[in-house]
Amino acid sequence: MDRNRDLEVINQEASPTEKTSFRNCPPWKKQLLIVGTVVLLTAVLIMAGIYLMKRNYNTAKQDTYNGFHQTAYDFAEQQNHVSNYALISVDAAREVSRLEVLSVSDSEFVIKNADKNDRTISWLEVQGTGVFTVDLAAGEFITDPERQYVLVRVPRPVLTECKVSGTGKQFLKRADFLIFNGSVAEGVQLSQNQLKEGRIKLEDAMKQDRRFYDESQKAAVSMIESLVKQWNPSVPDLQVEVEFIESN
Amino acid sequence: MSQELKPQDTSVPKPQEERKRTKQRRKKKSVKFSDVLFWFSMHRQAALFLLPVAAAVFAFLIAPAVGSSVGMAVGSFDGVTEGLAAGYDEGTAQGLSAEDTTAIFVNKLKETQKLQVLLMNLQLTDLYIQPENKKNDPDYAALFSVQSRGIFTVDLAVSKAVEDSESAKIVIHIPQPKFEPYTNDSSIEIVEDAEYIAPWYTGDGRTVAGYTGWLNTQKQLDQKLREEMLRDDGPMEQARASALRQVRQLAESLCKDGTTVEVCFFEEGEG
Repeated sequence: MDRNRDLEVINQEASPTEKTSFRNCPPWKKQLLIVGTVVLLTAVLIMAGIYLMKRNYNTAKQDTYNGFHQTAYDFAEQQNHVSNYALISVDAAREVSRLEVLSVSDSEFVIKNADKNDRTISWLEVQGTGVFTVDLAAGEFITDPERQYVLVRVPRPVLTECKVSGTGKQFLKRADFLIFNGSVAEGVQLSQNQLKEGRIKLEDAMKQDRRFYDESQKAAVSMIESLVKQWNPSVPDLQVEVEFIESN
Repeated sequence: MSQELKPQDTSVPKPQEERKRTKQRRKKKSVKFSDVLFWFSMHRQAALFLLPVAAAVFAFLIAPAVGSSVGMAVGSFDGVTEGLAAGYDEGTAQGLSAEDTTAIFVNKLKETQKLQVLLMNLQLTDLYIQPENKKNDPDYAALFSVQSRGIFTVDLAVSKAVEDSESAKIVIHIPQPKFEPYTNDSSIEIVEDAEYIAPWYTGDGRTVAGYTGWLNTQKQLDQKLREEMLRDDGPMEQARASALRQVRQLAESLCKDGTTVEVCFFEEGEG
């Protein structure tokens, strides 16, 4: 009889559901579990609090900074806003047949130093582009189908276009004293004069550079040759010769 | 033991005595930290409940509020010391059309193979006002006349020629014309004395503002001119027609005798 009871007890202890049940845990284990959970929860909440504090700190700091920044930006933008209203009219238009063979770029500094009348110093880098063209309308094209030969006689390339394409480095200094910092009108006039001067300097430099003429002639020859060959694909051994004529 | 109601019990207490009693009550009510600890040691379950609640209050109420307040304070300091100056500088630059592009030339020479097909003499009349927000009393306003030349070109470097040997016909595909303005800066002049300069005592701006304003205007005018001329309802149609004609004439001169030349534009996305 006692033996059977012992077996029952052993069976009960061996039951896995009974063993893992929270109710059957010893009290110290229960307390440890509860305290552990509470401590963990508390730690998580504190971490969350720190995270939220940091996030709110950064957001508020950035928002406030941006607010000041935007206010100053808007104020300055309005104080300096330049407006242009341009009307474009076409005076004349004509068809041309000029081949652009070389585009050149250059830059010049226009210097204006202070003098007795004006204490403004302004050094401006003016950048420009020029285009050398060959007037094909003034050329002659002689084709010899038997010899598979084309002779193209065109005027030498010349600088036909030049413009200020931009401005680079600049140094502008005015002897400011309290409110004596010039005027907008003075500034506009100064920049217009420097752009004018810069364009003239650029055009002169481009016209005087022998290298540009040499390169433009080489480019013209190679381009015309390739163009003639491209447009006569059925004549593989086409001979093309380019001659420059003196234009009036 | 029966309680007897003494006459002084019913009497109204004197204000001084009342104050004393209140103080005593307060003294009695003031709780020491050690008392709290003692209380919690006796009521551990309450402590276990209150600890996460306190942490939650910290996490969701106190910490964000502290963060916002400190952030706002630090942000205000930074904003005043740095933000105002930085914003003013950036706003000034933007107001003067900013984005001042500095181009550095790498290649001074570049071969092109563009055929100029249409040349236009353009006249620009520009009403310049600075600053714009003071339209009724700007620092400076002027009506400028500017001469410009506009050129439409076709890039022959990307053209393509296909020959039909049976019909002795060659078809040349060319890209759409492009427009390039060549403004003559030497031609700028004020139209019929149309210039207003504010008197110095009302504020006539700064030299540097006018200087930068015009330099940027120059770029903007070129850009706007380019956009307007390339619009479909502008001279683009004329340029297209001229391109077809000029290329055909040129090709007829350069191709072998008897060849029929046909010129057309690339389809969109082609070439």
